[in-house]
Amino acid sequence: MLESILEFSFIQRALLTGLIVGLISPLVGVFVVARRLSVVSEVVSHMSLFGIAVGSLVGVSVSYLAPVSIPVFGMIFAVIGALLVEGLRRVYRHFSELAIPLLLSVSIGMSVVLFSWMDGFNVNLFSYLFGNLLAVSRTDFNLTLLTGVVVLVTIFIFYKEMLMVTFDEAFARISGIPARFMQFLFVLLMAITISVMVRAVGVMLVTGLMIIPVAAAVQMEKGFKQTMGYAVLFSELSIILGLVLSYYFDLASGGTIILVSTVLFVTVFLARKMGVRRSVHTGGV
Amino acid sequence: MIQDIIQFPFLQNAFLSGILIGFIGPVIGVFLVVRRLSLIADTLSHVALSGVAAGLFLQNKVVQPINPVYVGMVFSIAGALFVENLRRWFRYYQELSLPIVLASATGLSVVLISLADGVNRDLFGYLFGSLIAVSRTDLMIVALIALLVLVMVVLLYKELFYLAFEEEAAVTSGIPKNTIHFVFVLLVALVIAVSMNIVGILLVSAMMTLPVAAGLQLAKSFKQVFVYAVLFSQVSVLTGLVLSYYFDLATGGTIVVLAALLLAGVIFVKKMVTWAKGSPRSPRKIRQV
Repeated sequence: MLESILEFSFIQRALLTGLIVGLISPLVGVFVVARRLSVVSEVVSHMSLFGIAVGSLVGVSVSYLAPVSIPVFGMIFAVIGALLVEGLRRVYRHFSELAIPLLLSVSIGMSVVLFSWMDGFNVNLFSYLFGNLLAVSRTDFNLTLLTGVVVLVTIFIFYKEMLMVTFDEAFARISGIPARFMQFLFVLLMAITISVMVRAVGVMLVTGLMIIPVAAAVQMEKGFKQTMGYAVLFSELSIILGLVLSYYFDLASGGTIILVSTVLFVTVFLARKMGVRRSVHTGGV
Repeated sequence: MIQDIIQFPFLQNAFLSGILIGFIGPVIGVFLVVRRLSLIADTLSHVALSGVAAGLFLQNKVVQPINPVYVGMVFSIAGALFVENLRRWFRYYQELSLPIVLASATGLSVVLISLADGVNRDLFGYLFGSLIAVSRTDLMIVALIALLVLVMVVLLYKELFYLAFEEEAAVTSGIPKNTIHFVFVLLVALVIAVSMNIVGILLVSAMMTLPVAAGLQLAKSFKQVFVYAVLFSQVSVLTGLVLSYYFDLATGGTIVVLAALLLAGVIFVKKMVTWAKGSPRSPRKIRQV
């Protein structure tokens, strides 16, 4: 196993990309869950699919742009989507309930129409929908690495501010934290993280990989930092196990990763449920 | 176009089932939107996708004569039962529980599809809708289910209405909330299952909610919401079918983009009208006061 992994450079790239994604996605995901933004993350991932569709169109018409245009457009559209949702939420409060389904369906509808118009790109579309870590290109890898560094550094620098804005916005404002700027920064981080996750697990599974490990970690009922630690642990575990399983049994990597994380979640959930029941029993006695 | 429809039976099937789906989709969708349950529709549609994937797997690897859509239908009904129980289990994770089921169902479908070697034109059709997938038998089933959904909504209209707007009062006046809710989720599952062929799994929930959102902008009473929603949905379904036939586009995508454009148009026109009238909330008026 080890030998064959070290042997193939594309597998190395897949594993490294997976590890980076597995690190940054739960770090951002903890905040996403705490702020109840999981639907927004769905919008952002679908917008990045729209970007990928536009990027493929550009790549088809201007062939020397092809290797760069897809990931770059994916990221640009993800950022635009995130800013749109954020902006609409601020400007029209009651409008956000409409804006989210509207953006979701426009982005997926447009990407489907574009892909079906280009035709012959079906296989490609599927790899963006369901993810294919084994098809990660050099550009994708570099972009992931860069994003990983940016996300890690930003969260490290602004950890306290983000935590405060997440849990007590009013208090954060009073103590002089630029809440609006933090919000903006966080949404940007979420958008770039999602756009590199799309390559790894696919548009349809991004929210799952962001949320399921965090949901499992939340069940441990520890502090915020420990929850982050557990979330990273669960997500790295599911990525490594998922990749190994998908390599050996020839399964789609994105789907396998999500299923492993679901199994982890259910295990933690059941274990805790049993534990609680037992402690209630002894407590009653 | 009319000539083509007369000539090709597959187009007749597609158009007739499109009209039926364009009718029952928004009727169920009104209650989904008003009760803010659209995520349930999304979840059930992804569960249906794992059913379709299981069907593809059985079709390709085990037994030949099986239609993946019917397996999807079974899954989406089973999913409805499961989601209902889930609400009770995870009382305090309710809003996370649906995304988790959604993601797991999608993961399962992806794995099953890769096991079945099912990445092909058919799958594209199930995901995003297609014009050629509807057979005579499918059309019959769509018609039957449309009739069932319509009868149930008419019979339960008062209960659903009451629960949507005055849940507590409804419960105290003796409406069996859980039973009604359960029947409603089953109806949602059925509508999703029959919409799969034309609109596609990934776009079903958009088709159920977008026309309703547009209807809510214009309607002056609850019943008018239904009228407008059905109107918008029929316009987008029929135009979408014609456009996708002529330009060879994915049917569901075209329908949903049209529905979204209609919604955006309605919002824009409404804003313009209130602006032209000078609504009491506009800054100019406030300054005069």
